[in-house]
Amino acid sequence: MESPANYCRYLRGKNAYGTLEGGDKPFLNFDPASSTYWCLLTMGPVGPDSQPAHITTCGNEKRKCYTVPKVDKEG
Amino acid sequence: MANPNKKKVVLPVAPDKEAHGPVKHLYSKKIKLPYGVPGHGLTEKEREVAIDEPPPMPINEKLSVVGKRTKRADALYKVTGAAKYTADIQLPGMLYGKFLRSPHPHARIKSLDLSAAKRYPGVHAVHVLDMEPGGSVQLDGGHDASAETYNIDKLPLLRYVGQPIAAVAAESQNIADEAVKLIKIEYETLPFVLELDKARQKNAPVVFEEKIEEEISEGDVGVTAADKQQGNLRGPTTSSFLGGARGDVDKGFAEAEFILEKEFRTQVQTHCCLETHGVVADWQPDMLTVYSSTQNTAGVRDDLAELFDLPKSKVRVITEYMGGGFGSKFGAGHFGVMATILSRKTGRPVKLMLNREEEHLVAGNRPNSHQILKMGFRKDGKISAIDLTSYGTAGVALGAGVGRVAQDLYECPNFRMAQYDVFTHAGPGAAFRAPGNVQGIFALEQMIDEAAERLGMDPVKYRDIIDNHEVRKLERMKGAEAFGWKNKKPGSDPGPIKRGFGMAQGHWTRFINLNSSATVRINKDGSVAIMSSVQDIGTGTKTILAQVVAEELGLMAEDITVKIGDTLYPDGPGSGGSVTAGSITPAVRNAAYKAKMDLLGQVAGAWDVEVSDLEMKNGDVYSKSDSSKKMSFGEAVKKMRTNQIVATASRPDDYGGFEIGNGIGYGRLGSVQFAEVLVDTETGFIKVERVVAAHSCGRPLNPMQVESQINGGVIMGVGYALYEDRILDLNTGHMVNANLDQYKLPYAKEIPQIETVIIEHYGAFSSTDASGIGEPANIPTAGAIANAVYNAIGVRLYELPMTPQKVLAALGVS
Repeated sequence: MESPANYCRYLRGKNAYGTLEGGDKPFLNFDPASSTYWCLLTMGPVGPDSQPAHITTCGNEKRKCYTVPKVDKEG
Repeated sequence: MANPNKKKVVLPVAPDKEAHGPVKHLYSKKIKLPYGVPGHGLTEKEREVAIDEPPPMPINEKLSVVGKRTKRADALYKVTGAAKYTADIQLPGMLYGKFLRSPHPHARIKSLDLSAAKRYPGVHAVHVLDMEPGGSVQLDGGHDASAETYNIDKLPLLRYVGQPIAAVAAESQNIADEAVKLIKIEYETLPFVLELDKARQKNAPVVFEEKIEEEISEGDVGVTAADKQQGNLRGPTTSSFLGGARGDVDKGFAEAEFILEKEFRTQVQTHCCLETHGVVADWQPDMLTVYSSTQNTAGVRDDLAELFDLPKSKVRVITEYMGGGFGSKFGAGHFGVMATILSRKTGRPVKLMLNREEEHLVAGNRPNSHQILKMGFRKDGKISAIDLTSYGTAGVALGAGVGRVAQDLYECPNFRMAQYDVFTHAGPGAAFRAPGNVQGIFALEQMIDEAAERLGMDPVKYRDIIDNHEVRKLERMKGAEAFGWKNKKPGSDPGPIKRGFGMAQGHWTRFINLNSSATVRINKDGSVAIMSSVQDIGTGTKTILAQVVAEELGLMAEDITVKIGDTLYPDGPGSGGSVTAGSITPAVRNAAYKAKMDLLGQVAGAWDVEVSDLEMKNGDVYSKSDSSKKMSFGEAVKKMRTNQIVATASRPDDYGGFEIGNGIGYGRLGSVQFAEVLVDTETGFIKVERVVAAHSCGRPLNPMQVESQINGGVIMGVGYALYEDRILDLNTGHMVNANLDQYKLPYAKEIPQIETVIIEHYGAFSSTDASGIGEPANIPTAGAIANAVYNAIGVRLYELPMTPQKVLAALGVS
């Protein structure tokens, strides 16, 4: 199924709730001040376009590295 | 538990409300569960639950295994060295990886030549990380595989010392270490900024040049039009899931009898897990197998499946033993991805473990903070207004806030906050045991202490006025008794060494990860196994799972085999946010109950009795109505029609539904700690003599392990309060104490006497009613020590760590 979230396929995060994976997992942005984010492609806090990975920026289709979430490949 | 600020609670909205809404059941039943604290008005709470939920678990004193002090299931393996951690994994043909890392805090790569490294005997592969979308996982990053020099336009801008650039895989660690030095690289160094205050200045070197046009999604919390970036300053964040500003703060201050306004500073604390970060990746045609030191096996699997476009079933992640994570070991990590790339390139397993220096530089840290906290107090002590502004740096990353404690620990009708991130050219921050809250408590609890003094009130009694949380009130009472609080005479020693006493408290939200499943298998030979991908990060998860299943089946904990930390098994939760016990133990108990019902059904058929007439206890299966019908568990399983009974269950919603939603409950995990310190007014040295830690974590499943986690939390808090501090050379950007010698952690001589008070608190939330203790144990310690130091010397320290130099400066001793 398509991810209901509009976040980039490669955005990941961690807050007190746990890992924020997007895709088939709820991406709860409930405490943004103390949450950390990273890009799966670079495995760092900076995206391929040399800008910070963050929930407020990685749902932005205007960002040149934005990638639409894909179908979950379970099985 | 009542939420004093509940009018402003905001539900965190899942992206798809339908997919993540509460579960409804076709058939349900009503059960009555223990509710409250034994000995303090324990009652029962009726809940409507799914028909297949197990019967209520009685309070601990009525149980045989759960709630009893039980030695760790893996203790023998750990103390004998038989336990295999990721670093111990040796596979045939395995190669060893080593990173080339940036030596500069801000630089552009001018040229890169791999030829010498590639030619070095024993080197099998070299891989360069580039910044093209998808490039990081391409075999050669989109470059000509035979090329020895790289297109520098595709290489990343370097923004901190330690940033990964490339890595080699070689036949030994020594060869890899040597080969990586042969990578020829030229840099154009650029201006950089390391300090929080300087990075906020307008003329500071900028970490991120361009500004991204942001879009705000519906349902996001804390994102406002002001959540923007100017220079290195980003934010402010003005809300959390508990809401944003409330009331009229200015009016609240106008109504105050007195106002306190103070500035507090906390340092960068680097992650120092005893086991460093790392993996062994083995890329084979049919399966990618990764041994990983991780807090979330399923998360690493998901990351690698996504990144390498593999089905999840083709990625197996194993964490049999794990040496600590504290929030830093989530995701595959750059080392995990690199090891996988190198394994795919070479066709051989690749081990890539970070060394201690790399841990300090790149494995994450607790961001520092500069907090300006203003609070108004009425004549009766009630808080009339709170205004918090904070700045913090997570280096090149975000997330340097100071938590939700000022927002919600105490009742206050008028509140606002502005939490800013500040970028610097330093290693990225990461989640760290109660992210933000530890920093926030250091400030808030000193303010409360100061207010109590201003009001002429005892700090414990004052908190009874402003904090109506029933469990914390009990913790204050029991903790004070254990500590001997009322008999303490502070600071009156005639000599230069002054003794002081202080206390502080905190809270932690009860989080649940619903993606928590487990299988219980009863074999015909009488053995019982639990299987889940949930990992034991050193907290004792294996043991509590064994206890829960043993209790259900009437066996002993040592009768149960626990096979966890492997994604071949059902998904378990990641171990962070203190979610593990509360998430996975209900799933395990429910699976055990299903398996038990299956077994009893078969026994009942053999005996021609009703299933409801049968009981399993003390290793026996018996009829409650006919004493002649009794046999051992070993005999009972021989009546199984199949060789195995297998049952799988997942974590259901909280009984009664989640108080806030999406796995988040409001029932706060209280924590109250009391500290006794000695302060040498001539040398400035502080010695923490004793800490009494009073905590609640729902049903304590294994008090011995709860104590162990509290001990760890207090010790970590002592390190944060007095010793730990990342020191960066302002001329080079290098960390000068990137080791465990000059980066001081508490060792035996610095660890105080620790006494724990565990409040057994039932909330009727699940079939085990357990919660975690990892985070709450660490939150109040530094605040309690700071208040004790003030109590000892009469001068308050507003900055961590409280070093001898700072003590002497505060005392005016040059």
